[in-house]
Amino acid sequence: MWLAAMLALLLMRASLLALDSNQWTIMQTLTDAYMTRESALANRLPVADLTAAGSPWPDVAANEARFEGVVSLGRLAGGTEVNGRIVRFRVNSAPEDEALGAGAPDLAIWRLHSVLTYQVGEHTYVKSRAVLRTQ
Amino acid sequence: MKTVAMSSRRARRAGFTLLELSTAMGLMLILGSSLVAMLQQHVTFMGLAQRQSFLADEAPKIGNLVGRIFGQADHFLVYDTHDAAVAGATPVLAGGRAVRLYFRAADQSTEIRIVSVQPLASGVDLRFHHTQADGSQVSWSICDRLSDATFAADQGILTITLNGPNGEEITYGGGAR
Repeated sequence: MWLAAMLALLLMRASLLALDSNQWTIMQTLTDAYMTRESALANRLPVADLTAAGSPWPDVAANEARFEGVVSLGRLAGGTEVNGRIVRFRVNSAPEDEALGAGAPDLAIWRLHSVLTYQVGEHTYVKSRAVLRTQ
Repeated sequence: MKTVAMSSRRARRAGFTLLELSTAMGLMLILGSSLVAMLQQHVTFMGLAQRQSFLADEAPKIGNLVGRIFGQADHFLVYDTHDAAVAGATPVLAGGRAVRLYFRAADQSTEIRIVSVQPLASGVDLRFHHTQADGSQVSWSICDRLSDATFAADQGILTITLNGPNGEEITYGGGAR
């Protein structure tokens, strides 16, 4: 009896571990997929829209509030929706004028950051992507 | 008389009492039912793991492949159906079942490929099509375990939403060149 109970517990633990690692993999799949959209959008967005008021990637140095929102990452087996929280902002990455010297072209270089926060079980994780845009 | 008594004692020792047999059978029944319960539990867990296999195994492979294809495309147009994409009909913005991808070749010529969703007896097949130099059509399957897939031109980027066999949904983006 004790042997059977121990065996049952061991099997259950192994199954739970397998499901737990699957859950981790699934969340990586969903968040990576969401980040492909963020990177594509950051690459595609016209610079005029990027630097305009109400930009999806606000300039934090100009005291613009960061873009924040809850986003849908997808659906699990059974149709349960999975959500995450996205934060976007941009940072001026242009080099100092002194480094370029006089007569250097007026470059606008922005680094667009997307930071996704999501949960796996009781733990909270963060994944980020950065895209460099120049004009 | 003595011989009869000895053989009777020997006969009693050779067997088991009803209580012993009942105890042994009861233990075997409990053990057997425990093992059956364990097996059922294991089968249930395996079923759960199997239900998760689309997002855990299939989707990353499709995403990797589709991401590479989309990433190399110069531009794209989304169509309602595969036939509409072949004919070059009016494109749509969302809910398309085919996308026409334009690739810039090394000699600056443009090559066209089509990725489309085609119905199967159960579910759909996501296929990559291209026309060879002799005009023959060649296609290969990206995945045939989907329940549906749709393309959209969303904010200037190409997205593909994959629906798995158990209600899963995942969206990949790309095609930003």
